[in-house]
Formats: sequence, C-alpha cells, structure tokens
Amino acid sequence: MSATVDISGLAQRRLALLGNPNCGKTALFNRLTGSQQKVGNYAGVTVELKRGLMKTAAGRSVTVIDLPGTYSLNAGSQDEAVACGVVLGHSLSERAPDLTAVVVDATRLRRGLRLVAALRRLQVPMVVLLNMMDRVRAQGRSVDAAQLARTLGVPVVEATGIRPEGTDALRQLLDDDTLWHQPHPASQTPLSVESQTRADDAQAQAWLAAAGLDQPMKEHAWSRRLDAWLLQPLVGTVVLLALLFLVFQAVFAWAEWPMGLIEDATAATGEWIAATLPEGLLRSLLVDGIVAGVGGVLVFLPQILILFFFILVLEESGYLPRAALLLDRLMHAIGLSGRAFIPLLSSFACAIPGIMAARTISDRHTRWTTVFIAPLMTCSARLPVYALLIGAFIPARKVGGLNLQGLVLFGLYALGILSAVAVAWVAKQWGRARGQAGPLMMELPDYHWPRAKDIAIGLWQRALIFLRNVGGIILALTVILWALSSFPVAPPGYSGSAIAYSLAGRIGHALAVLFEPIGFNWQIAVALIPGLAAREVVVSALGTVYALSQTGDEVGTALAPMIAADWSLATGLSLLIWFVFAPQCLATLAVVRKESGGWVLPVSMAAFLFGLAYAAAFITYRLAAALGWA
Amino acid sequence: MDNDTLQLIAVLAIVVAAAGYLLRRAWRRQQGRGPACGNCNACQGKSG
Amino acid sequence: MTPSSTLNQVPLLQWHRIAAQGAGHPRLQELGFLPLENVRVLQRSWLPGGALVVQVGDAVFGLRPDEAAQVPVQGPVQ
Repeated sequence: MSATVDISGLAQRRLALLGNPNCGKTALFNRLTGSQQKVGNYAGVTVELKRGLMKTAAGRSVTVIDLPGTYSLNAGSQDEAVACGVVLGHSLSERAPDLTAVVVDATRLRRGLRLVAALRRLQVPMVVLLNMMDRVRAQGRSVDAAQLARTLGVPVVEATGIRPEGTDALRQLLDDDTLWHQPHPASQTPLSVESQTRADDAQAQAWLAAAGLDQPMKEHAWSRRLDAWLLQPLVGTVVLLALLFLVFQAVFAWAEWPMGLIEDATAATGEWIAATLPEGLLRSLLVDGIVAGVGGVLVFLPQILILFFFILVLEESGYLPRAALLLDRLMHAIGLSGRAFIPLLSSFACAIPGIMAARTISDRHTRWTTVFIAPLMTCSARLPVYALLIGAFIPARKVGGLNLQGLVLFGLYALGILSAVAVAWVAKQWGRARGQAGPLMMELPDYHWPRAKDIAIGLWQRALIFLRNVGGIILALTVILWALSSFPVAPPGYSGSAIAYSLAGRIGHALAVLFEPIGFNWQIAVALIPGLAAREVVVSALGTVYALSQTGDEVGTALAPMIAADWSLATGLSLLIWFVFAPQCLATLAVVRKESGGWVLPVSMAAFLFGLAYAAAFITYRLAAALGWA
Repeated sequence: MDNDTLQLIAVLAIVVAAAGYLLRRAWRRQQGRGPACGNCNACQGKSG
Repeated sequence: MTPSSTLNQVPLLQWHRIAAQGAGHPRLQELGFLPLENVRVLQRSWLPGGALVVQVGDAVFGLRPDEAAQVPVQGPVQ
C-alpha cells in the first residue's frame, strides 16, 4: 500500500526528533527533510516549530517534527515545556507524534541516556539515533548500537546529518510497521521532579554499566605530561613568555627576505610606469599614489602572515586554554575571568571577532570591560605601522642575543596589554563590585599536532583578507588622498613643494598646530585622517604624501629611509606610542555601536583612547626630547 | 585632445570611482550590513 | 555510604562518582558533571586558589577551586 504525499499531516505517520541541545539534531532534520520544511511557532510562545516531510527507504512519507533541544522533560524552560508537551500529547499546537526519535550524541552518552530514561519512564514509543559516531571512532573507541539496543530495549541505529547515507539506517528502520503501532503514553501518578530525575540518572547509569560503557576514556598520556609542566605556575609562565618572545623575533627575522622581494617588485613597477608614461597627472596618480601608497602596505604581508601562523598553531595545538588557565588568577585580580583571554587574544588579529566573541560572556560588567579593552590588544592592522616605524628608527642590532627590533615590537604589544590590564582594573573598582568575574570552567582538549593543511588554509584566508583590504579600502583611500594632495595644482614658480599648496597640505598644516606638542609634523597629521578608516592606511598615506613631496626623479625610494631622514627619533617614538593607544578604526566602532545598541559606548571609547594616545605620545615626545633625541 | 587633458580625464575617472566605492561602503554600513573586514567566518564562528 | 565531600577536596587521581543530587551550577551540568558520572582530579595548582584540572567522563576541564566545590562526590571508586 503506497502512501499518498499528504502535506496537511492528517493521514501521515508522525515522527518527532528530540535531543539535547547541540547534538546535531538540526543537521539530521535538514538531511531527512531537505527542502520540504516549514517553520512556524508554537501557540503562545516564541519557540520555533519546524515540520518537514521525509521518505522512508520504501518510499513512504513521514511527517517529521523537529522539537527544541532539551536536557530533560522537566519543563524547566520554555523549550523544555514545549518539547515535553508535544511528546506527551499535551500540546495545543501539535498532535502527539506516533514515534519519537531521540538523537543522542555518542560522545555524550550519559546525558542523552538520561533523556531516553525519562521517555522510557513515561512509556513514550521511541527509537534512539546515535549521532557523532565518527567522532567516537576518531577517538579509537566504538559504541555497539546493536548491544545498546538490547540493553535499552528499543531500536538503536547510527545516524548522521553530515553525509547523505547517514540517514539510510533510520529510513530503513521506519519501514518496520511494528514501531508505529505502539500504545501511546498513559498518564502516570506524578513523582516529584527530584525523584524523577534521580530515577532517570540511576537508569542511565544502569544502562551504561550493562553496556560496558561506564569506563571513562584513559587519559591522554602526552597531554597529562605536558600539562604537568605547562600548567605549573612558574614553568608555565616562563614557557608562555618564551613563546611570545619567539613569535615577535620571528616576525622580523623570518620576514626579511620576502619583504625584500616585494619591495623590489614595487620599485620596479614604479620605475617602469614612470618610464612608460609621459609626465603628468596620471603618472603621478599611478606612481606616487597607487604604487607608493599601496605598495607601502603590501610589503608587510609576510610579517602579518608570520604572526598569524603562530596564532593559528597555538589555537590548533590546544595550547590556548592552558594559557587562559595560567592567566586566570591574574585576570581574576583585575575583574576578568581567564575565559576572557581567548576573545582578547582574537583581538591580536582584529578587534571585531574578539568583540563579538565577548557575547559568550554572561556577566554584563565583564563583557563590556572586555569589549572596551579589546582594541588595546594590538590588532594586526597596527603591525604595518609598527613595522614601518621600527624599521626606520630602531637599529637592527642584537641586544643580549635577541634582535632589538623584535624586542621593541614585543614591548609595544606588552604595553598594549598592560594598559588593557590597567583599564580593566580601574573598571573593576568603579563598577558595582559584584565579586563574580564570570566562571572559568575551561575545557582542556588534548594536545595535538596542528594539521598543516588547516594552518595553510587559515593563512591563505588571512592573506586574501589582507589583499582584499589593500585592493579595496586602502586603494580607494590612497587615491582620494592623492587627489586631495595634488589639487589644487600649485602654480609654476611656487616656492614650496607642490603638495603644501594642495587641499590636503593645507589641512595638514592646520592640524599640525594641534599635534605639534607631541612632535607630529603636518605629513603625519594628514596621514592620520584616512587612518581612521583603517590603520594600515597610515602607511600608504605616508607613502603617497612623501612621494609627492619629493622633487626630481627619485622614484621608488622606499618610505622608511625617507621618514628616518625627515623625522627625529623622538617623533618616531611618539608616533609608535600613539598607535598603541590610538582610537580604533571606524569598522570596530561600528561593531561596538551595533553590539551595545547605542552611541554612548563607542563614542566614549574613541574619546577615551584619543585622550590616552595624546597623553602617552606627549610624555614620550617630551621624554625623548629631554634625552636629546628631538 | 592633448596628453594633459587625457591624463586629467583618466585621473578624474579613477578618483570618482574611488570616491564612489567609499560612499557605497559607508552607505552599506549605515544600512547595517557587516563591517568590511572581509572575513565573515571569523565572527560567525565565535558568536554566542 | 562514605561521608560526602566535594571535588576540590578529594585526593589526586582517585576516581569518584558525582553524588546523586548533581552539581550545583547549571552550567557544570551542561558541561557533563552529571549525577553518578565518573570524576577525578588530575592536577592541582601549586598556588593556593589556583585552578584544578579535572577529568569528568571523557572530557578534561580547568576549574577554579570554588567551582569544583560545587560538585558533590561520593566515595572512591575502585
């Protein structure tokens, strides 16, 4: 007897999908129903109702209802109440299903079995679907579905939503007519919630013991050995610091050769264009604007990739949660949890994912403190600026066996972190002292060698992002800046350099008054404005401004020697320190506005950081001047 | 058209294109589209 | 039934079971600190107040001492 396809759901067999949150139920539902889904609402609540149509192996249609993820049937939350209601036939929105499929994450068996025990106690007709079996096998273990079925007394099959054939076993199972004609749950004398839970726990325990699954996995020997040292407060901290040192040394030492290549290519391009095109505006735009500007930023790609390489390796190896654990006591002292370390570390790349990752922090005060200090943890866009200035002003010497430039870079990052710590500490004193800095409860996955393929993909993605930025906003801003720096055109016979006559030049000179106390000249003032949109643009802006300031045929001279010749050491240092604190780019401010739902936080952040940057640059410049470096 | 005018036109075209790009970006952000960091993965992987 | 204690008090590397009433903090339950589950402390910090490393079922977690104190356990499992 073939069933007709009946979307109204009246004559169909009805299957409900139940399971813990994050057990892969949704992927399974999607795999079963494909595009035949409808989403609605349960009456009176904001819980989603998803219904779809699937075909069994024999081709019969079955209505599938995806219930909200729940840990138990105790109706503690709205989700649980809805799921419980539907399964027991109390729901107003949905008739009781004929069969319930409990999706159990095989790596979290006990938790799933508690739910199965509850259904069993309530005599709900069910089958059990074992999900995530691929993960279990990857751990070198196995769960015998057949044996589990004998222990539980209900059918158990493997299922997974990530492969097409993953639902085959279920589709076959559903052709078994005996499953569909079981008695519906009878009403029972209610036990107290506590007794119910204890009964379910005991039942799950009994099943696990009977199936021989009560033994926890043996410890991962290497992880324990490494943790014995890496989590030891003294050794662990030393290792952490040593790792950080290594990273910053590598950023300079390893990048030299590829950077040289890019510089040569840029210079050659500029020379070729200059030789090919007759003199004029177009040539100036291409050579002084685009090549000098964009090329100036492009050259830092190797350093960014090296930094990211280390971040990725640390992430993939499983080391980061250990660092979070080590730092927890310290962070707790300033009012944060060690958990906040990982969003903050993301800020090393870009503050935006870090700010959004802070959503997982439940405590309001901790969350907004984390968001506030995220921009102080150096974002990767600062790196070209740092690298340019360090390259120009810090000699490439060795100090005590360590590369001085790498040391200074490390010092800048350390300064950013220390200031973040200081701000967090102040915030803790100010805020309503809740005492709760948010829980730690940090999972420590086993250490494993990072997979080269994953690292390569991560680096490739990073490179693409960087190139997209360069080819997009940086290029556009550089063109605009060039235009502002070239028009109005200086009349012939003008005594100063042409750029001083232009609109940008005039703005720069006007702003220079504001920045004079901290040692910034007008070129820097001009470059800071487009730098608000993206920090790297400061480098390209300086490249363009200085290229336009040159007279004669010195095309393709690299930027670093030019500024080294033009600025004093004090100015260079002052600008470096400015960038440690400078307000973050507009994109970050926009995200903060969106996340906080108002203007107060982003505006106060920008104002605060501007003031901090100015003060720090001021102190640096005056100190350096006093030392005779001005 | 002489060389200078030709160059001027080319330059203006490029500048206008750049300005248009920036304006469009700013307008998109006003509308609430994501920040142009170009990496939707980074944030989606980490939210809530 | 041996007198009950909490996870931060038990000896190192000795398996215990979580007591029937379960962990105090709901998030701990979500992470897998379920009643009757096997649990043990793998590592303690040398510093007072430092985090512990515990294994619950198959997963390993770092917990603060006050968090571990919310996990009641019953006698050692042989």
